[in-house]
Amino acid sequence: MSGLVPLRRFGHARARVAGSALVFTFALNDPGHWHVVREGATAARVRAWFGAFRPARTTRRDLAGLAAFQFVLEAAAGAGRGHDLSVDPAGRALAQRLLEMPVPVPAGHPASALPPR
Amino acid sequence: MPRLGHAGRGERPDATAALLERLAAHDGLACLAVRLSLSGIERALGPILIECLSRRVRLAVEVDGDGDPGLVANALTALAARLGKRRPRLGLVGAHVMLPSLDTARLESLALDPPMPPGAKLVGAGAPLGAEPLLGLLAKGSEVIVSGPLSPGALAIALCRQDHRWSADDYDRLAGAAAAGRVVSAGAAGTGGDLDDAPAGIGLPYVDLAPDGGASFASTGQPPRNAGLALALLDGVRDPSSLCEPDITVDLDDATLLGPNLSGVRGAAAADRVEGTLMLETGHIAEAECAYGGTGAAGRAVAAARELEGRLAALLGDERFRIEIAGLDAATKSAGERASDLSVVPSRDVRLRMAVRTAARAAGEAALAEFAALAAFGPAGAGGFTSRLAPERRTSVARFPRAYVSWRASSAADGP
Repeated sequence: MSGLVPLRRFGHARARVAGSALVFTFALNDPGHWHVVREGATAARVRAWFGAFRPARTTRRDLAGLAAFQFVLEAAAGAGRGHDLSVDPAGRALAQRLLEMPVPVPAGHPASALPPR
Repeated sequence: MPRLGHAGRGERPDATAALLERLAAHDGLACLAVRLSLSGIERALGPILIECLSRRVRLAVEVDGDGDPGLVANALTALAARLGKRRPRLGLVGAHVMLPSLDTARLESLALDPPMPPGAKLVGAGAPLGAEPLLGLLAKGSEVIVSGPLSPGALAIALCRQDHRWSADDYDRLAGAAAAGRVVSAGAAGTGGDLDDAPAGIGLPYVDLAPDGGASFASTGQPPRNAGLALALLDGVRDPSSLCEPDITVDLDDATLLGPNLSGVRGAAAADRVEGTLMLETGHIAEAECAYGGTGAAGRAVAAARELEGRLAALLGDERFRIEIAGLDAATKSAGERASDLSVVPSRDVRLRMAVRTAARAAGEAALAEFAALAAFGPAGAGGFTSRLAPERRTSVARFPRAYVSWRASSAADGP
Protein backbone atom coordinates (compact mmCIF):
# COMPACT_ATOMS: atom_id res chain seq x y z
CA MET A 1 0.00 0.00 0.00
CA SER A 2 1.18 3.47 -0.73
CA GLY A 3 -0.35 6.89 -0.68
CA LEU A 4 0.10 10.13 -2.57
CA VAL A 5 1.27 13.37 -1.05
CA PRO A 6 1.99 16.64 -2.85
CA LEU A 7 5.66 17.35 -3.50
CA ARG A 8 5.17 20.56 -1.52
CA ARG A 9 5.31 18.51 1.69
CA PHE A 10 8.99 17.80 1.11
CA GLY A 11 10.50 21.13 0.20
CA HIS A 12 10.59 24.15 -2.04
CA ALA A 13 10.91 24.87 -5.74
CA ARG A 14 11.86 27.55 -8.19
CA ALA A 15 11.06 27.67 -11.90
CA ARG A 16 12.46 29.70 -14.73
CA VAL A 17 12.26 29.87 -18.48
CA ALA A 18 15.78 29.36 -19.84
CA GLY A 19 15.86 29.74 -23.59
CA SER A 20 13.15 27.41 -24.86
CA ALA A 21 13.31 25.18 -21.78
CA LEU A 22 11.51 25.23 -18.47
CA VAL A 23 13.94 24.61 -15.63
CA PHE A 24 12.72 23.56 -12.19
CA THR A 25 14.82 23.28 -9.07
CA PHE A 26 13.44 21.37 -6.12
CA ALA A 27 15.26 21.48 -2.77
CA LEU A 28 14.41 19.28 0.19
CA ASN A 29 13.72 20.71 3.60
CA ASP A 30 15.01 17.49 5.14
CA PRO A 31 17.74 15.52 3.33
CA GLY A 32 16.38 12.45 5.08
CA HIS A 33 13.57 12.44 2.50
CA TRP A 34 16.04 12.10 -0.38
CA HIS A 35 15.16 8.52 -1.29
CA VAL A 36 11.39 8.82 -1.19
CA VAL A 37 11.46 11.93 -3.40
CA ARG A 38 14.03 10.37 -5.72
CA GLU A 39 11.75 7.36 -6.15
CA GLY A 40 8.57 9.40 -6.46
CA ALA A 41 9.46 12.53 -8.40
CA THR A 42 10.77 10.80 -11.49
CA ALA A 43 11.43 12.57 -14.78
CA ALA A 44 8.59 10.55 -16.31
CA ARG A 45 6.15 11.68 -13.64
CA VAL A 46 7.19 15.32 -14.02
CA ARG A 47 6.90 15.02 -17.78
CA ALA A 48 3.36 13.67 -17.42
CA TRP A 49 2.45 16.36 -14.86
CA PHE A 50 3.51 19.05 -17.34
CA GLY A 51 2.21 17.14 -20.37
CA ALA A 52 0.17 20.11 -21.57
CA PHE A 53 3.44 21.99 -22.06
CA ARG A 54 4.49 19.31 -24.55
CA PRO A 55 8.15 19.04 -23.51
CA ALA A 56 10.33 17.46 -26.18
CA ARG A 57 12.44 15.82 -23.47
CA THR A 58 12.42 15.84 -19.69
CA THR A 59 15.52 15.12 -17.64
CA ARG A 60 16.27 15.02 -13.92
CA ARG A 61 19.64 15.68 -12.33
CA ASP A 62 20.24 14.45 -8.80
CA LEU A 63 22.39 16.72 -6.66
CA ALA A 64 22.69 14.73 -3.46
CA GLY A 65 25.20 17.04 -1.80
CA LEU A 66 22.76 19.91 -2.18
CA ALA A 67 19.68 17.80 -1.33
CA ALA A 68 18.16 19.04 -4.56
CA PHE A 69 16.87 17.89 -7.93
CA GLN A 70 16.95 19.73 -11.22
CA PHE A 71 14.25 19.08 -13.83
CA VAL A 72 14.69 20.40 -17.36
CA LEU A 73 11.73 20.33 -19.76
CA GLU A 74 13.23 20.98 -23.18
CA ALA A 75 11.26 23.00 -25.72
CA ALA A 76 8.39 23.49 -23.25
CA ALA A 77 8.49 27.27 -23.23
CA GLY A 78 9.91 28.35 -26.55
CA ALA A 79 8.51 30.48 -29.31
CA GLY A 80 5.30 29.06 -30.71
CA ARG A 81 4.39 27.39 -27.44
CA GLY A 82 2.93 30.62 -26.20
CA HIS A 83 4.20 30.68 -22.65
CA ASP A 84 5.96 33.94 -23.43
CA LEU A 85 2.51 35.45 -23.96
CA SER A 86 1.66 34.60 -20.37
CA VAL A 87 1.22 37.09 -17.58
CA ASP A 88 4.33 35.36 -16.16
CA PRO A 89 6.62 34.96 -19.18
CA ALA A 90 9.62 34.11 -17.01
CA GLY A 91 7.72 31.08 -15.70
CA ARG A 92 8.39 31.82 -12.03
CA ALA A 93 4.90 30.88 -10.84
CA LEU A 94 5.14 27.44 -12.45
CA ALA A 95 7.17 26.29 -9.43
CA GLN A 96 3.90 26.18 -7.54
CA ARG A 97 2.46 23.84 -10.14
CA LEU A 98 5.40 21.47 -9.65
CA LEU A 99 4.81 21.53 -5.89
CA GLU A 100 1.22 20.38 -6.44
CA MET A 101 2.45 17.19 -8.13
CA PRO A 102 1.38 14.07 -6.19
CA VAL A 103 4.27 11.85 -5.16
CA PRO A 104 3.76 8.24 -4.07
CA VAL A 105 5.06 7.39 -0.63
CA PRO A 106 5.06 4.04 1.17
CA ALA A 107 2.21 3.51 3.56
CA GLY A 108 2.95 4.90 6.96
CA HIS A 109 5.81 7.04 5.66
CA PRO A 110 6.31 10.03 7.94
CA ALA A 111 5.75 12.36 4.96
CA SER A 112 2.06 11.53 5.16
CA ALA A 113 2.04 13.22 8.52
CA LEU A 114 4.06 16.28 7.48
CA PRO A 115 1.98 19.41 7.89
CA PRO A 116 0.52 20.77 4.65
CA ARG A 117 1.90 24.12 3.46
CA MET B 1 39.42 36.59 3.48
CA PRO B 2 37.05 38.56 1.22
CA ARG B 3 33.48 39.02 2.33
CA LEU B 4 30.84 39.78 -0.27
CA GLY B 5 27.29 40.92 0.43
CA HIS B 6 24.57 41.53 -2.12
CA ALA B 7 21.59 43.80 -1.68
CA GLY B 8 19.92 42.73 -4.92
CA ARG B 9 17.70 45.18 -6.73
CA GLY B 10 15.18 47.43 -5.10
CA GLU B 11 16.07 46.33 -1.60
CA ARG B 12 15.00 48.55 1.28
CA PRO B 13 17.73 51.01 2.27
CA ASP B 14 17.62 50.05 5.95
CA ALA B 15 18.18 46.40 5.01
CA THR B 16 21.16 47.43 2.90
CA ALA B 17 22.51 49.51 5.78
CA ALA B 18 22.31 46.47 8.07
CA LEU B 19 24.29 44.49 5.51
CA LEU B 20 26.90 47.24 5.33
CA GLU B 21 27.34 46.97 9.11
CA ARG B 22 28.21 43.28 8.80
CA LEU B 23 30.63 43.93 5.98
CA ALA B 24 32.33 46.86 7.68
CA ALA B 25 32.93 44.82 10.83
CA HIS B 26 34.98 42.36 8.79
CA ASP B 27 38.77 42.48 8.85
CA GLY B 28 39.45 41.47 5.26
CA LEU B 29 38.46 42.86 1.91
CA ALA B 30 34.75 43.60 1.94
CA CYS B 31 32.45 44.44 -0.92
CA LEU B 32 28.80 45.44 -1.06
CA ALA B 33 27.04 44.83 -4.36
CA VAL B 34 23.84 46.51 -5.47
CA ARG B 35 21.90 46.33 -8.71
CA LEU B 36 20.01 49.43 -9.81
CA SER B 37 18.82 51.65 -12.62
CA LEU B 38 19.74 55.30 -13.09
CA SER B 39 16.56 56.42 -11.38
CA GLY B 40 17.22 54.23 -8.34
CA ILE B 41 20.56 55.71 -7.29
CA GLU B 42 19.38 58.23 -4.71
CA ARG B 43 17.12 55.78 -2.90
CA ALA B 44 19.56 52.87 -2.95
CA LEU B 45 22.83 54.64 -2.30
CA GLY B 46 21.92 57.90 -0.56
CA PRO B 47 21.84 56.32 2.90
CA ILE B 48 24.98 54.17 2.48
CA LEU B 49 27.43 55.83 0.11
CA ILE B 50 29.26 57.85 2.73
CA GLU B 51 29.38 54.93 5.14
CA CYS B 52 30.86 52.71 2.43
CA LEU B 53 33.60 55.24 1.75
CA SER B 54 34.43 55.97 5.35
CA ARG B 55 34.34 52.33 6.44
CA ARG B 56 36.37 51.09 3.51
CA VAL B 57 33.75 48.77 2.09
CA ARG B 58 34.00 48.64 -1.68
CA LEU B 59 30.77 49.29 -3.49
CA ALA B 60 29.96 47.45 -6.72
CA VAL B 61 27.08 49.03 -8.61
CA GLU B 62 25.66 46.91 -11.41
CA VAL B 63 23.50 48.89 -13.79
CA ASP B 64 20.35 47.16 -14.99
CA GLY B 65 19.74 46.15 -18.57
CA ASP B 66 20.96 48.59 -21.19
CA GLY B 67 21.43 51.43 -18.69
CA ASP B 68 24.58 53.51 -19.18
CA PRO B 69 27.20 52.95 -16.44
CA GLY B 70 28.76 56.33 -17.32
CA LEU B 71 25.55 58.19 -16.50
CA VAL B 72 25.22 56.27 -13.25
CA ALA B 73 28.83 57.15 -12.35
CA ASN B 74 28.12 60.83 -12.99
CA ALA B 75 24.99 60.70 -10.84
CA LEU B 76 26.93 58.95 -8.12
CA THR B 77 29.62 61.63 -8.13
CA ALA B 78 26.92 64.30 -7.92
CA LEU B 79 25.30 62.46 -5.03
CA ALA B 80 28.60 62.39 -3.10
CA ALA B 81 29.01 66.14 -3.70
CA ARG B 82 25.47 66.83 -2.45
CA LEU B 83 26.27 64.84 0.67
CA GLY B 84 29.30 67.07 1.18
CA LYS B 85 31.90 64.41 0.51
CA ARG B 86 34.83 64.08 -1.83
CA ARG B 87 34.56 62.42 -5.19
CA PRO B 88 34.94 58.65 -4.65
CA ARG B 89 37.69 56.79 -6.51
CA LEU B 90 35.52 55.45 -9.28
CA GLY B 91 36.04 52.53 -11.60
CA LEU B 92 33.88 52.22 -14.66
CA VAL B 93 33.32 49.19 -16.86
CA GLY B 94 31.36 49.09 -20.08
CA ALA B 95 30.84 46.19 -22.42
CA HIS B 96 29.75 45.91 -26.01
CA VAL B 97 28.74 43.05 -28.20
CA MET B 98 29.83 43.87 -31.73
CA LEU B 99 27.94 41.71 -34.19
CA PRO B 100 29.13 41.21 -37.74
CA SER B 101 26.42 41.02 -40.36
CA LEU B 102 24.55 37.88 -39.48
CA ASP B 103 23.92 35.62 -42.42
CA THR B 104 22.14 32.31 -41.93
CA ALA B 105 25.32 30.35 -41.23
CA ARG B 106 26.52 32.86 -38.62
CA LEU B 107 23.13 32.88 -36.93
CA GLU B 108 23.16 29.10 -36.72
CA SER B 109 26.62 29.23 -35.20
CA LEU B 110 25.26 31.35 -32.33
CA ALA B 111 22.99 28.44 -31.29
CA LEU B 112 20.04 30.75 -30.66
CA ASP B 113 17.51 29.38 -28.20
CA PRO B 114 14.70 29.81 -29.06
CA PRO B 115 15.61 30.13 -32.73
CA MET B 116 15.07 33.43 -34.49
CA PRO B 117 11.51 33.50 -35.86
CA PRO B 118 11.06 34.24 -39.58
CA GLY B 119 10.84 37.97 -40.27
CA ALA B 120 12.35 38.94 -36.92
CA LYS B 121 14.57 42.00 -36.83
CA LEU B 122 17.71 42.09 -34.71
CA VAL B 123 17.64 45.13 -32.42
CA GLY B 124 20.34 44.48 -29.85
CA ALA B 125 22.75 42.12 -28.19
CA GLY B 126 24.23 41.80 -24.72
CA ALA B 127 26.55 39.60 -22.72
CA PRO B 128 27.40 39.74 -19.01
CA LEU B 129 30.87 40.77 -17.91
CA GLY B 130 33.30 38.45 -16.21
CA ALA B 131 35.87 39.17 -13.51
CA GLU B 132 38.76 40.43 -15.61
CA PRO B 133 37.82 44.13 -15.86
CA LEU B 134 36.79 44.22 -12.19
CA LEU B 135 40.10 42.76 -11.12
CA GLY B 136 42.08 45.58 -12.71
CA LEU B 137 39.95 48.20 -10.98
CA LEU B 138 40.24 46.51 -7.58
CA ALA B 139 44.02 46.47 -8.00
CA LYS B 140 43.98 50.20 -8.72
CA GLY B 141 42.10 50.87 -5.50
CA SER B 142 38.68 51.78 -6.89
CA GLU B 143 36.26 52.41 -4.06
CA VAL B 144 33.15 52.30 -6.21
CA ILE B 145 32.92 50.20 -9.37
CA VAL B 146 30.07 50.91 -11.74
CA SER B 147 29.45 48.32 -14.43
CA GLY B 148 26.94 46.95 -16.86
CA PRO B 149 25.39 43.54 -16.19
CA LEU B 150 27.79 41.11 -14.53
CA SER B 151 27.80 37.35 -14.57
CA PRO B 152 26.64 36.04 -11.17
CA GLY B 153 30.14 34.85 -10.25
CA ALA B 154 32.20 37.76 -11.59
CA LEU B 155 32.52 39.82 -8.45
CA ALA B 156 33.34 36.91 -6.15
CA ILE B 157 36.00 35.68 -8.57
CA ALA B 158 37.54 39.15 -8.82
CA LEU B 159 37.63 39.58 -5.03
CA CYS B 160 39.29 36.19 -4.54
CA ARG B 161 41.82 36.75 -7.26
CA GLN B 162 42.68 40.11 -5.69
CA ASP B 163 42.76 39.05 -2.05
CA HIS B 164 43.84 35.39 -2.24
CA ARG B 165 46.10 35.95 -5.25
CA TRP B 166 44.55 33.02 -7.11
CA SER B 167 45.61 32.63 -10.70
CA ALA B 168 43.16 32.57 -13.61
CA ASP B 169 43.61 28.81 -14.01
CA ASP B 170 42.99 27.91 -10.36
CA TYR B 171 39.79 26.38 -11.65
CA ASP B 172 38.34 24.52 -8.69
CA ARG B 173 38.76 27.38 -6.24
CA LEU B 174 37.50 29.95 -8.72
CA ALA B 175 34.49 27.75 -9.42
CA GLY B 176 33.74 27.66 -5.69
CA ALA B 177 33.84 31.45 -5.57
CA ALA B 178 31.65 31.73 -8.66
CA ALA B 179 29.07 29.42 -7.11
CA ALA B 180 29.08 31.45 -3.91
CA GLY B 181 28.68 34.67 -5.87
CA ARG B 182 25.75 33.15 -7.66
CA VAL B 183 23.99 32.47 -4.35
CA VAL B 184 24.43 35.94 -2.86
CA SER B 185 23.56 37.67 -6.13
CA ALA B 186 20.03 36.37 -5.54
CA GLY B 187 19.74 38.88 -2.68
CA ALA B 188 17.34 37.93 0.10
CA ALA B 189 16.21 34.89 -1.88
CA GLY B 190 19.72 33.48 -1.56
CA THR B 191 19.32 32.56 2.07
CA GLY B 192 15.76 31.35 1.85
CA GLY B 193 14.25 34.59 3.03
CA ASP B 194 11.50 34.39 0.44
CA LEU B 195 10.41 30.79 1.04
CA ASP B 196 6.74 30.47 1.83
CA ASP B 197 7.37 29.15 5.32
CA ALA B 198 10.19 31.56 6.17
CA PRO B 199 9.93 33.12 9.61
CA ALA B 200 9.70 36.88 9.89
CA GLY B 201 12.96 38.77 9.57
CA ILE B 202 14.19 38.34 6.01
CA GLY B 203 17.85 39.20 5.89
CA LEU B 204 20.31 39.95 3.14
CA PRO B 205 23.01 37.38 2.39
CA TYR B 206 26.75 37.65 2.62
CA VAL B 207 29.51 35.13 2.17
CA ASP B 208 33.05 34.63 3.39
CA LEU B 209 35.18 33.30 0.57
CA ALA B 210 37.79 30.98 2.09
CA PRO B 211 41.35 30.47 0.81
CA ASP B 212 40.57 26.82 0.00
CA GLY B 213 37.72 27.74 -2.35
CA GLY B 214 35.00 26.97 0.15
CA ALA B 215 32.33 29.47 1.09
CA SER B 216 30.42 30.17 4.26
CA PHE B 217 27.08 31.96 4.00
CA ALA B 218 25.40 34.15 6.57
CA SER B 219 22.51 36.58 6.63
CA THR B 220 21.62 39.80 8.36
CA GLY B 221 18.32 38.18 9.39
CA GLN B 222 17.40 34.58 10.04
CA PRO B 223 20.23 32.06 9.49
CA PRO B 224 20.47 30.83 5.89
CA ARG B 225 18.43 27.75 5.07
CA ASN B 226 19.98 25.05 2.95
CA ALA B 227 16.92 24.83 0.72
CA GLY B 228 17.22 28.54 -0.02
CA LEU B 229 20.95 28.27 -0.74
CA ALA B 230 20.46 25.30 -3.07
CA LEU B 231 17.58 26.97 -4.93
CA ALA B 232 19.61 30.12 -5.49
CA LEU B 233 22.62 28.13 -6.66
CA LEU B 234 20.68 26.04 -9.16
CA ASP B 235 18.02 28.51 -10.27
CA GLY B 236 17.62 28.35 -14.06
CA VAL B 237 20.71 26.18 -14.59
CA ARG B 238 20.11 23.79 -17.48
CA ASP B 239 23.22 21.73 -16.91
CA PRO B 240 24.61 21.76 -13.36
CA SER B 241 27.79 19.98 -14.48
CA SER B 242 28.61 22.65 -17.02
CA LEU B 243 27.50 26.07 -15.90
CA CYS B 244 29.11 28.62 -18.21
CA GLU B 245 30.49 31.77 -16.64
CA PRO B 246 32.66 34.10 -18.73
CA ASP B 247 35.70 33.21 -16.58
CA ILE B 248 35.15 29.56 -15.87
CA THR B 249 32.99 26.48 -16.35
CA VAL B 250 31.41 25.46 -13.05
CA ASP B 251 30.56 21.85 -12.17
CA LEU B 252 28.05 21.51 -9.32
CA ASP B 253 27.59 17.74 -9.49
CA ASP B 254 29.57 17.12 -6.29
CA ALA B 255 28.81 20.42 -4.60
CA THR B 256 27.90 19.94 -0.98
CA LEU B 257 26.15 22.10 1.55
CA LEU B 258 26.91 21.28 5.15
CA GLY B 259 25.04 23.81 7.19
CA PRO B 260 25.87 27.14 5.62
CA ASN B 261 29.17 25.89 4.14
CA LEU B 262 29.54 25.16 0.45
CA SER B 263 32.33 22.90 -0.81
CA GLY B 264 33.05 20.39 -3.55
CA VAL B 265 32.47 22.72 -6.48
CA ARG B 266 34.76 21.89 -9.38
CA GLY B 267 35.90 24.04 -12.25
CA ALA B 268 37.33 23.86 -15.73
CA ALA B 269 38.51 26.36 -18.30
CA ALA B 270 35.85 28.71 -19.61
CA ALA B 271 34.09 27.76 -22.81
CA ASP B 272 35.38 29.39 -25.98
CA ARG B 273 32.03 31.13 -26.33
CA VAL B 274 30.26 33.56 -24.04
CA GLU B 275 26.58 33.16 -23.25
CA GLY B 276 24.52 36.27 -23.87
CA THR B 277 21.26 37.36 -25.44
CA LEU B 278 20.01 38.69 -28.74
CA MET B 279 17.09 41.11 -28.66
CA LEU B 280 14.67 40.58 -31.53
CA GLU B 281 11.74 42.62 -32.77
CA THR B 282 9.27 40.06 -33.94
CA GLY B 283 6.07 41.85 -34.90
CA HIS B 284 3.35 43.21 -32.67
CA ILE B 285 1.75 42.17 -29.45
CA ALA B 286 -1.80 43.10 -28.50
CA GLU B 287 -2.92 42.74 -24.90
CA ALA B 288 -6.26 43.46 -23.29
CA GLU B 289 -7.80 42.88 -19.89
CA CYS B 290 -11.09 43.34 -18.10
CA ALA B 291 -12.37 42.44 -14.65
CA TYR B 292 -15.38 40.45 -13.51
CA GLY B 293 -16.59 40.81 -9.95
CA GLY B 294 -19.32 39.63 -7.62
CA THR B 295 -21.38 36.46 -7.47
CA GLY B 296 -20.62 34.14 -10.38
CA ALA B 297 -17.67 36.25 -11.55
CA ALA B 298 -15.54 33.23 -12.45
CA GLY B 299 -18.35 31.61 -14.44
CA ARG B 300 -18.92 34.77 -16.46
CA ALA B 301 -15.20 35.18 -17.12
CA VAL B 302 -14.90 31.57 -18.29
CA ALA B 303 -17.91 32.04 -20.60
CA ALA B 304 -16.26 35.15 -22.02
CA ALA B 305 -12.94 33.31 -22.42
CA ARG B 306 -14.56 30.47 -24.35
CA GLU B 307 -16.36 32.88 -26.66
CA LEU B 308 -13.19 34.90 -27.22
CA GLU B 309 -11.20 31.76 -27.94
CA GLY B 310 -13.57 30.87 -30.77
CA ARG B 311 -13.52 34.37 -32.21
CA LEU B 312 -9.73 34.64 -32.15
CA ALA B 313 -9.27 31.20 -33.69
CA ALA B 314 -11.52 32.29 -36.57
CA LEU B 315 -9.74 35.63 -36.86
CA LEU B 316 -6.12 34.53 -36.56
CA GLY B 317 -6.32 30.98 -37.77
CA ASP B 318 -3.52 29.60 -35.61
CA GLU B 319 -2.26 29.49 -32.04
CA ARG B 320 -0.68 32.89 -31.76
CA PHE B 321 -2.84 33.94 -28.85
CA ARG B 322 -3.28 33.19 -25.19
CA ILE B 323 -6.35 33.71 -23.05
CA GLU B 324 -6.05 33.42 -19.30
CA ILE B 325 -7.97 34.36 -16.20
CA ALA B 326 -6.10 35.85 -13.27
CA GLY B 327 -7.66 34.30 -10.22
CA LEU B 328 -8.15 30.92 -11.89
CA ASP B 329 -5.20 29.84 -13.95
CA ALA B 330 -3.23 32.74 -15.40
CA ALA B 331 0.13 32.07 -13.88
CA THR B 332 0.32 28.31 -14.12
CA LYS B 333 -1.57 27.21 -17.24
CA SER B 334 0.23 25.95 -20.31
CA ALA B 335 -0.21 27.04 -23.89
CA GLY B 336 -1.85 23.70 -24.61
CA GLU B 337 -4.68 24.29 -22.16
CA ARG B 338 -7.72 26.03 -23.56
CA ALA B 339 -10.55 27.98 -22.03
CA SER B 340 -12.80 25.04 -22.88
CA ASP B 341 -10.72 22.94 -20.44
CA LEU B 342 -11.22 25.36 -17.57
CA SER B 343 -13.08 24.20 -14.53
CA VAL B 344 -14.90 26.99 -12.78
CA VAL B 345 -13.68 27.45 -9.24
CA PRO B 346 -15.96 29.80 -7.37
CA SER B 347 -14.39 33.22 -7.18
CA ARG B 348 -15.85 36.68 -6.74
CA ASP B 349 -13.02 38.61 -8.34
CA VAL B 350 -11.17 37.58 -11.50
CA ARG B 351 -9.53 39.27 -14.45
CA LEU B 352 -9.70 38.07 -18.06
CA ARG B 353 -6.58 38.67 -20.12
CA MET B 354 -5.78 38.18 -23.80
CA ALA B 355 -2.35 38.36 -25.44
CA VAL B 356 -2.02 38.09 -29.22
CA ARG B 357 1.13 37.98 -31.32
CA THR B 358 0.75 39.20 -34.91
CA ALA B 359 3.08 40.12 -37.74
CA ALA B 360 0.84 42.95 -38.92
CA ARG B 361 -0.44 45.72 -36.68
CA ALA B 362 -3.89 45.54 -38.28
CA ALA B 363 -4.44 41.98 -37.06
CA GLY B 364 -3.60 43.11 -33.54
CA GLU B 365 -6.13 45.93 -33.83
CA ALA B 366 -8.78 43.45 -34.99
CA ALA B 367 -8.10 41.20 -31.99
CA LEU B 368 -8.41 44.16 -29.62
CA ALA B 369 -11.71 45.09 -31.26
CA GLU B 370 -13.03 41.58 -30.59
CA PHE B 371 -12.02 41.82 -26.94
CA ALA B 372 -13.55 45.28 -26.56
CA ALA B 373 -16.81 44.08 -28.12
CA LEU B 374 -16.92 41.12 -25.77
CA ALA B 375 -16.25 43.34 -22.75
CA ALA B 376 -19.05 45.68 -23.82
CA PHE B 377 -21.67 43.21 -25.02
CA GLY B 378 -20.61 39.83 -23.58
CA PRO B 379 -21.27 38.34 -20.16
CA ALA B 380 -22.42 40.90 -17.62
CA GLY B 381 -20.25 42.88 -15.30
CA ALA B 382 -17.05 43.35 -17.31
CA GLY B 383 -15.21 46.44 -16.14
CA GLY B 384 -11.77 47.96 -15.94
CA PHE B 385 -11.04 47.39 -19.63
CA THR B 386 -7.45 48.15 -20.64
CA SER B 387 -5.57 47.44 -23.85
CA ARG B 388 -2.15 47.86 -25.41
CA LEU B 389 -0.73 47.33 -28.89
CA ALA B 390 3.02 47.64 -29.29
CA PRO B 391 6.00 46.21 -31.16
CA GLU B 392 7.04 42.97 -29.54
CA ARG B 393 10.58 42.40 -28.36
CA ARG B 394 11.83 38.98 -27.42
CA THR B 395 15.19 37.65 -26.37
CA SER B 396 17.00 34.50 -27.40
CA VAL B 397 19.97 33.01 -25.60
CA ALA B 398 23.05 33.16 -27.83
CA ARG B 399 26.58 31.84 -27.63
CA PHE B 400 28.90 34.53 -28.91
CA PRO B 401 32.49 34.00 -30.02
CA ARG B 402 34.66 35.87 -27.51
CA ALA B 403 35.86 38.17 -30.26
CA TYR B 404 32.35 39.63 -30.47
CA VAL B 405 32.41 40.81 -26.85
CA SER B 406 34.63 43.70 -25.85
CA TRP B 407 34.90 45.71 -22.65
CA ARG B 408 36.65 48.81 -21.47
CA ALA B 409 37.56 49.61 -17.90
CA SER B 410 38.69 53.00 -16.68
CA SER B 411 39.39 54.40 -13.25
CA ALA B 412 39.60 57.90 -11.83
CA ALA B 413 43.38 57.57 -11.91
CA ASP B 414 43.20 57.14 -15.69
CA GLY B 415 41.79 60.65 -16.05
CA PRO B 416 38.57 61.62 -17.80
